[in-house]
Amino acid sequence: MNDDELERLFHLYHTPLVRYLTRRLGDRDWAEEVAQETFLRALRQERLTSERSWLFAVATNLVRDEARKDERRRRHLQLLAEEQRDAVVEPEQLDADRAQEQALARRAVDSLAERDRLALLMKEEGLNYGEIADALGMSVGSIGTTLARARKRLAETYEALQAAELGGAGGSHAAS
Amino acid sequence: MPHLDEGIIHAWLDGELPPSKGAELEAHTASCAPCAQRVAAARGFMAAASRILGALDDVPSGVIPHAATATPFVPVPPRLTVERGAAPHTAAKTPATRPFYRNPQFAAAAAVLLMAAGTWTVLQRSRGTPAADMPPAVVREGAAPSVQDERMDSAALGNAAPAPAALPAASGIVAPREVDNTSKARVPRSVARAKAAPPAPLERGSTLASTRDAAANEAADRVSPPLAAAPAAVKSDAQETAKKSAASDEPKRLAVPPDSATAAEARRLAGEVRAQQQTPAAEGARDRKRLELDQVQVTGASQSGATRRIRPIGCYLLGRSAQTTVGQLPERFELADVAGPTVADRVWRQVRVRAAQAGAPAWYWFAQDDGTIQLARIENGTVRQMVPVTAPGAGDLRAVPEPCGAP
Repeated sequence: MNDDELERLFHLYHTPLVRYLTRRLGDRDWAEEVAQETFLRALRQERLTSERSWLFAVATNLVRDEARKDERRRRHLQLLAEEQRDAVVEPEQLDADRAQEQALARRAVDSLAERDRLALLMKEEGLNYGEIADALGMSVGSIGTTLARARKRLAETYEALQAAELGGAGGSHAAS
Repeated sequence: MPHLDEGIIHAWLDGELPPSKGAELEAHTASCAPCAQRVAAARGFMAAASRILGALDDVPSGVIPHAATATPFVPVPPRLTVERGAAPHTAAKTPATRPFYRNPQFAAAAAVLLMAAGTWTVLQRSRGTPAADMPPAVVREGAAPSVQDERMDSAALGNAAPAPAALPAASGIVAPREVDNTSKARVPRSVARAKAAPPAPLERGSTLASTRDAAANEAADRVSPPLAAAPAAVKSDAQETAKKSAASDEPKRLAVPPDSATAAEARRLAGEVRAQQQTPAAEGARDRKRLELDQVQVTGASQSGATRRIRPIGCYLLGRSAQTTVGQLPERFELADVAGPTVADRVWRQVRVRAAQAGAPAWYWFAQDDGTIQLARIENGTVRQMVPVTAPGAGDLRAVPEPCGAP
């Protein structure tokens, strides 16, 4: 693959790939790193017939392999990235409510079976059933059922977690 | 025709079925109430799933961080009425403190290190990467790979995705700096509480809200700025306030660090007031906080195409408490000024107001184009309500313009 082709791929898929990986990993820096590695691997390919599913599949594999590698090195990079980000830009901090919402969402997503989660994340990035099936090694016919299960469970779990949070937070009242 | 399978329904709603099949399903659901309900439920689950996944993003989906759009300001407020003759203050600004990691030199060094480490990592990988890194199918030219190891080894993924049991840590990963900043700025609990506690009421002695929830205590602790940045006068004021608070039924309030809002959220706000606190010099000024609203920064682009505007709007004396009504529910809220992040050589302070009611939305100070000040009720990054500081029932909340830098 030449540089022009790689650039085209990058422009088309970098944002959704990073978002997919960020949602998957909960770590933007790590996601960027994996995405970069994914594109480097694409560069070594002569030709990609199903480029989107190829990219998402390779990224997914890299995540799993990366998880087995040196955790300490990753954390070190994370720290450096965090310090650099703090030094260069105004800190982006999450509003407390939003952070809570994000934590609930993370818990709900983590409650999904791995395959359901990946299928759902890929679908959210615009992959069609055929591409998801390619990337995950599943049959196209099973994707609808997988997504139905994933969406339902995600929504119900989130709702249950939210209800539990609200129940736990009860009892306080504004003085006026 | 039997009732529709959920998988089929989702495939249909995802546009994965051929038109003829879609028409068939549509005809069926028109005459089958249970299936129509399933379709409606599926739509709900799809929408909910998208929204929940969107909450995982650092930035909203499809939004590039530095080119985000901003929600335009809601309605222009009534003109601010002012009160003059406020107590004098010193012009001395709060001393800036900057952690070592915010120094440009450190930033540069960290950037170089990061790039070097990243390059090394990539090079290492691109060299002798084991075959396991690449899906077998990828070896075939152009062929689409599939994810390896269909068992989806949960042990291996344990490092990749936090387990439910480790969720607090997971949320810390996505919003680490709030925790980091507060821990860096940690001061003894008593001082933190004192700093966070509201000063005594203004002239009319309005009583402050009292909430006893643990969240208020915790939030008050988090408000504490670095001690080095707290002028002596402020500290003594804070200590006195702490004594008052301890002696009476301590008014508590919810407050969070000023930089707890994401930049994306900030961009959605059309006019973010950044203020620098100045130290009250005279005893008479103790009951008021002097804030130099030196800039109104409109970041990002509004929907009308307006872009960044920065202009000074002057200095104000701010009162401390106010009461308003959100819907039918009266709320009392108080101003909180807390140390902000260091940007360049300046210590920014952002005034953030938070309702005393648990779970209530955040309140921010805003300056409008005409110089008036409003409180904005922010919920999920959206301005829900604007309250002029001089609104009826606004209690002691007031912003009194005075010359900047006046002694």
